[in-house]
Amino acid sequence: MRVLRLFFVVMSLAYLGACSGIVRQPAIAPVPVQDQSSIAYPNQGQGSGVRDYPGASSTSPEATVFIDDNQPGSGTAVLALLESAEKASQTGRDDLAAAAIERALSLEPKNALLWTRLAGIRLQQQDWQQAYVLAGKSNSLARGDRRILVQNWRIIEQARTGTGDTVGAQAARKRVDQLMNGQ
Amino acid sequence: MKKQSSKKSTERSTRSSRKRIWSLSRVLQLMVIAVCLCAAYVSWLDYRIHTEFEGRRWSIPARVYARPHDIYIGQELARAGLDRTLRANNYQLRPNLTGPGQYRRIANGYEIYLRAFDYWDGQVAAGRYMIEASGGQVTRIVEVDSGEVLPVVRMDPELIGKIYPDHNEDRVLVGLNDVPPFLVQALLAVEDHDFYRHVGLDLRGIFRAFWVNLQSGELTQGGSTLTQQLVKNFFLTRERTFTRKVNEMIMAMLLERRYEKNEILLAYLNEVYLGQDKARGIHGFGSASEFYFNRPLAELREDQLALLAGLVRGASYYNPRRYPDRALSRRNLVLNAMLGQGYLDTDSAQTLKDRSLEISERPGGVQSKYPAFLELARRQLLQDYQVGDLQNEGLRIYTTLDPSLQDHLDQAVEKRLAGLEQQNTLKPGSLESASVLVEISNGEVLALSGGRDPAQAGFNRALDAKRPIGSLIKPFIYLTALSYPDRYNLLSVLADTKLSIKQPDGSVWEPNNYDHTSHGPVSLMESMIHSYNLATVRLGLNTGLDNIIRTLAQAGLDTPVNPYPSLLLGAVDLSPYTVAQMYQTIANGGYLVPLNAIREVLDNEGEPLQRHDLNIVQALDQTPVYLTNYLLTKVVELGTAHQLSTSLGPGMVLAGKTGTTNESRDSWYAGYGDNVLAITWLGRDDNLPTPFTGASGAMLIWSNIMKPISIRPLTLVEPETISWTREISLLFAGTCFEAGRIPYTGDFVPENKLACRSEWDPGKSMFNPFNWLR
Repeated sequence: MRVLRLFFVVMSLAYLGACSGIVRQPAIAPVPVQDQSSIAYPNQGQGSGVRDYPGASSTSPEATVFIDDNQPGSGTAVLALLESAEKASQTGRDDLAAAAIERALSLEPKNALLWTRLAGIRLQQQDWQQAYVLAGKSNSLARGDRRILVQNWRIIEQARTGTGDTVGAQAARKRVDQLMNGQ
Repeated sequence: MKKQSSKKSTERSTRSSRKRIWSLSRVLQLMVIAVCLCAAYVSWLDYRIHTEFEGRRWSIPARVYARPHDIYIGQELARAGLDRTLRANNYQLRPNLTGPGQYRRIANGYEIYLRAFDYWDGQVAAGRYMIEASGGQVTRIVEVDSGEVLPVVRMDPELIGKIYPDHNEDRVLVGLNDVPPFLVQALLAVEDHDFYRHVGLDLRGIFRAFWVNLQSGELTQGGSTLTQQLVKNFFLTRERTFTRKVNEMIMAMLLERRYEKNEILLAYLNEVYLGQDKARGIHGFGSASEFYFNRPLAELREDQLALLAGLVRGASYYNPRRYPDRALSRRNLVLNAMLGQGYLDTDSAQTLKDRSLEISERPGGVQSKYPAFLELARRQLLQDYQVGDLQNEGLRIYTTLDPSLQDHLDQAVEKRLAGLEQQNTLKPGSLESASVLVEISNGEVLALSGGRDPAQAGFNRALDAKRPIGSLIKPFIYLTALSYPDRYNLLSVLADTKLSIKQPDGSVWEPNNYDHTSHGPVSLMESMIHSYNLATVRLGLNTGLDNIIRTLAQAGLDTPVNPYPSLLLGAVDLSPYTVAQMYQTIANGGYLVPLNAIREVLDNEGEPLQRHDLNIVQALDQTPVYLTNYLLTKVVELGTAHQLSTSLGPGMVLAGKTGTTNESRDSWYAGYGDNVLAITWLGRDDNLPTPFTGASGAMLIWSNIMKPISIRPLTLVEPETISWTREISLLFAGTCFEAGRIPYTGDFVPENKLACRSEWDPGKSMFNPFNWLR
């Protein structure tokens, strides 16, 4: 808590319309909707299918995720939150990125890609343990989707390297290779 | 002589003039001393003002909020649900929206004028939003002014409680830009005409007040300036003495010399006493607005602002809840004063005077809207914060509570307990219950019921009532056994036959089935589905009590457990909250997330102090967890929780487990869909028997909770380690049952030793509910 004077100063600034003195990140809520044309979302509301997500080209092997059958409608919001997480991540605000992903996870808790993204953010933050566990959680929901599994094992490899577990990292690398070779 | 006398007289005059000079200088000295003393005194007062005023810290109670409400495209929008949220959040239904905190219905949805609010990850600006729905789902969200289409929008969260300082002053700090100019005008009109012109004292004002009061015969105007009133409140006692009055005047002038008018005004607006709610003192216009109108100051109408300005003169005497007539005439007097001073014209003054008071029915900003949940939040906060910080620092605490789920929970408990008492001719009020609702993937506590009276803050059964959990322990036994795929799979044959075991204390324990029947050789799957005790005890003993205790600990049981065989039938006393933690781990695929009631804590200025990051632990191997989850869905589909399948609609896949203890002293149900887990306990505080099993008691409350919130059906995602048998038919409850394909893991394909060849007849005995009420 600040002293009263500081409070006055802040309030006076606000009163003078000088709020710009208080630096804030752009709000992630509400999130502007992405240009729909760039989001391939073929099976919305029609059971399992695949869709592209923002931040990856449709040709990238990482670009696909299963739609969760049970949350047919939440896709648009989840995509927007993912996109907002990507943006926050690009500006170095991993905390905001993680918050956006967690918000999306509340809507689609069994969306493997969201768990992968959260693992990636933790990796970025050098929280090796969480990166490792979250990638494992994503694996358990990936339903054998090789593209997601590859991403997760890459995260696991780096997380293990981060903790100094070189043997484990090598094993993870091997798993990536196997998956890339279609095994 | 003459000379002498003249000399004498000269001497005398010199002496007297010396005397005069001496006395003059004495006087001067004294005056200098007095001036010095005065100056020293004034400097001392100035020093006091300087240090105390600037160093003054208002005690601001922490404000505790529910989770903000996300509205997103695709969301199921039971109209009543959003209505409830809007109402609970003090949004007013209006035909036309003029400002934040209002909404109206449109043909296919709502238009809402959202309030601005700061969350740790950004600000939401106030603005109008169209929420369009079709087929019960939100289809479009548009920000009206910009025309921008949005996928998700966040509504400001509901205030659910406060943590008050020891002296019980309630205060909601406002900044000058939060204060409507009308309020300041009203205040100046009745309290301090010349505020922006005087130097702290207003002699003309004193005379004018005297004159006006004399003329009107009422106490229309006060003689003290706002600055004097502030000084009195800040630094001085309430006693009416001359010294105090002089001090007040000097300090008022000093304050004016040191600080800007607006600084003084703002301090006044936040300091002034404006009401009392039992022990809670209402200080400042921010909290008064909340207390009397249940709305932020910026949303008040002009007549309401005039009333608040009028209360300064005597908040108890003009208390609008107790003396509405007095309050009304005081308000109108304020409006008249404003008219007289040119702040209002005759017509608008009349329009405002014609309005009724419209004080909120119940005082706003009261503590403990949901005392049971708040108790959990308080305990969690005390792990990281000192009590003093929570009481004084104006923290903003965002919790995980979903108020609409909490309301459903409270209603379900109240309704169902009364119904059960009536149906079973039990004494009304004899039953009690407790429930915990958790979001599975992040461990957030959505709602918590500590007893049948949601308003009572007393004994919190969800947190503190530790009761034997009965069959709720079984999934952990089966999970442990299934961790040894070379020894157990779902088709393993168990002997559901009598046994007696010598306990460590020398006594002999002879467990029994609920129906006092032995069922002979049964599959592991059937034993779980029908909650057979004897087969479970044998399975548990063969799996090893220590192994099972390890599983319990990994799942989140945080107290030591004795390795007695009776543990296998749930002879361990746990609170619903602990059970919720353990089931969260299974429901979340083996990933434990510590249950959590606090999302974020922000300081008084909106800067984040603490944020609860999602941290997960892989506590249990996902393969046996998957098999256990599969079994628990079968419990709902075919077993002891079968009634749920009918009450929540066909095709609703849920996982669950009933629990009943000796003589039905405790009735439990643990169940979950895709995102929500709920644990419910039902019993009596005096621990006497009840007529209820888990299925006929706690499960009915659970069902009442889940029905209106449209729980999402459970999708089980199988790990890569899972394989499936071919289609099998299985001897099940003495009948042939087409069990379909059965999941397993490991290299050994389960052998169907209880295979049958006879025709499956669904009408034969499978669905006799009386077999399953365990």
